[in-house]
Amino acid sequence: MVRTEELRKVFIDGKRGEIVAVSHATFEAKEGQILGLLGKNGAGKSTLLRMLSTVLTPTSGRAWVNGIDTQGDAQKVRQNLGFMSASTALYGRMSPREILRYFGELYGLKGQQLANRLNELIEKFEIGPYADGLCDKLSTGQKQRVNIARTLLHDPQVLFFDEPTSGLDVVMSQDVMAFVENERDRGKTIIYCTHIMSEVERLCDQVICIHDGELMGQGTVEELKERTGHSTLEQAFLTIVGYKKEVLA
Amino acid sequence: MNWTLIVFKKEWREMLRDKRVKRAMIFGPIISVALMMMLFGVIFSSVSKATKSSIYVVKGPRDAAVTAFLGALDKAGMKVIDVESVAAAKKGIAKGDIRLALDFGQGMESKLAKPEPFVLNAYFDPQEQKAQIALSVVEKATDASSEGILKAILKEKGVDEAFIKPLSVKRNEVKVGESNSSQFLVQLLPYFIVIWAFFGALSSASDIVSGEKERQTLETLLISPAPRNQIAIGKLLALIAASLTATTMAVLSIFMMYYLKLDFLKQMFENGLGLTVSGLLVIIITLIPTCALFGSILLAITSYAKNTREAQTYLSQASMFVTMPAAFSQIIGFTDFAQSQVVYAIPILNTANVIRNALMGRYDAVGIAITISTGVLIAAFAVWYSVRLFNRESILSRI
Repeated sequence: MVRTEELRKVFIDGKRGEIVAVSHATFEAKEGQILGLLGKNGAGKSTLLRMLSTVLTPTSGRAWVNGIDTQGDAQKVRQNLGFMSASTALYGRMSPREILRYFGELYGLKGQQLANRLNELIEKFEIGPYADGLCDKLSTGQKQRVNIARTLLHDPQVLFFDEPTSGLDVVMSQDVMAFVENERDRGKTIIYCTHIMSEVERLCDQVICIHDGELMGQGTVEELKERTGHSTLEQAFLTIVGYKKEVLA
Repeated sequence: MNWTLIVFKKEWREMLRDKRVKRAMIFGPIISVALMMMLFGVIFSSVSKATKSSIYVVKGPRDAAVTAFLGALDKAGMKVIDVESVAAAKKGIAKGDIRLALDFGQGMESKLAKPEPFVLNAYFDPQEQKAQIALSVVEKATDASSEGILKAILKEKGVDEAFIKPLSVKRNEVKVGESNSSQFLVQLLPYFIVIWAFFGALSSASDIVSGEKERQTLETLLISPAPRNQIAIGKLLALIAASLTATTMAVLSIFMMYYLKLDFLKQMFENGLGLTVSGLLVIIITLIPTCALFGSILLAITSYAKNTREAQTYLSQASMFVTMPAAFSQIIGFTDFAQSQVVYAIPILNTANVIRNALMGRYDAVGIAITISTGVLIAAFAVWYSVRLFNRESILSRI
């Protein structure tokens, strides 16, 4: 489970002054559910995920990941979560097996336990044929498979996805979404950031619309549509974030 | 869990697979030091050959005094060749065919017998260095001839021959160190060792943090349970290892050139390599904090930079601050500064100076202690700063 209370992040910029990236965010993501964070680019989705991942410290407010206070025991929080983004690259001069081993060691796996986990993931994501070649030579799809395997190495209870299908072709996007659904079915708590409506409609049990750092609306896809009186999630989202009405007509 | 070791092993493995890093860390120091030594070896050998070059003498009457003088030049290794006239000699000098021409004129023997001073005209291009060398051989021969003539006159007058030089200097060399390094090695070796300690790690520095920021692999690493200070130290150790490897390669290259026993390097190593075991130990002990200092400076720069391009700009600026004191170490021997304790408090210059002294077999315990302490202190500050940068949010948001 992931829970936040009045989570806020303000950046200080020399030229622009205070920039409120996330403002008083309070929400809860439950086990066995996918919580979608829906917002345009720069809405504050990534900042929110980074605070939950303990990479950024909140200006105020609190958050718990798997029951652990993010500001109390950050290391334990990181031990319990997996993070994946489509923009995350792999180390080009290492092979997928070496990268998985490296992260496995960082997550405290060793010896036979690590070897077994590597083999299991390499088999599951069909990485075998290119497991020992350099990552520089891999296709985007192959790299994404390695990225997914890396995210799951330590079998975390909480998973964060930051626009995981960005830049991927249709087939690979389907694979990623199938993987996310599978993890949800295994009882994981998942937060899924995206600006692609079709992904939200397919995957998310709960949706939060985020705009200029503010959480504007929360509910299921159907609830959001109903609340705004629109038949599509896209129109519902635009209404929630206050987009010009004439465009919607 | 030892995250530092895990990060270090990964970084080191990646470095060894990077062609640019291998070039800078292994092949660069070996090849550049070897080439530089070959170049200087060829110059030394060529200068030495110049003293045995040809000398042109304008045709004219050759009395016994002229013949004796030419015999002395021949003994000094000069090949005497006739030239028709002074005009022809000047023409040859202008064309570059002749470096030095001598015109004995007439009556050398009779003038000296009187005795009257005799002037020997030498024609040469003052900008031609080999001509200067040949001229010095001729001047040595004239000095020897003059001394012989004076001795004969003094003997005739019943004055002691030793009075030919009423005032002279006797050179009594006092051997201070146990080493016999040549002047070349004393001047250039510290420079190369220090320079490669920095440049060896330079090529991997921009990639090790700012490269990770750019590729967004740093975020994945920071989300792992590894504490940031351990990640930073692991990366620092990899940079220090690169720095130590490169500087070791520079020293190995010198050993290699010494053991190859190439003909044109004979003069450079005529007194042997000059590196004693104690000298080598002092160099190693001084280099470790220096490499740590370089590694931590590089880590601080690459952690601060937004991306590899910005890192490379800062790194090239930093390399100027390393090159300058290292280059000064080559000429420090000509200044009073070399003996000052202040030198030992100036980073980089102090290391080069300790290496220079070690090559001369001089060990100043206080100086070595100040050098190591200064290196450790600045390295500690740079490590603290880079770890601080790692712990700041800006490590990711400053993109």
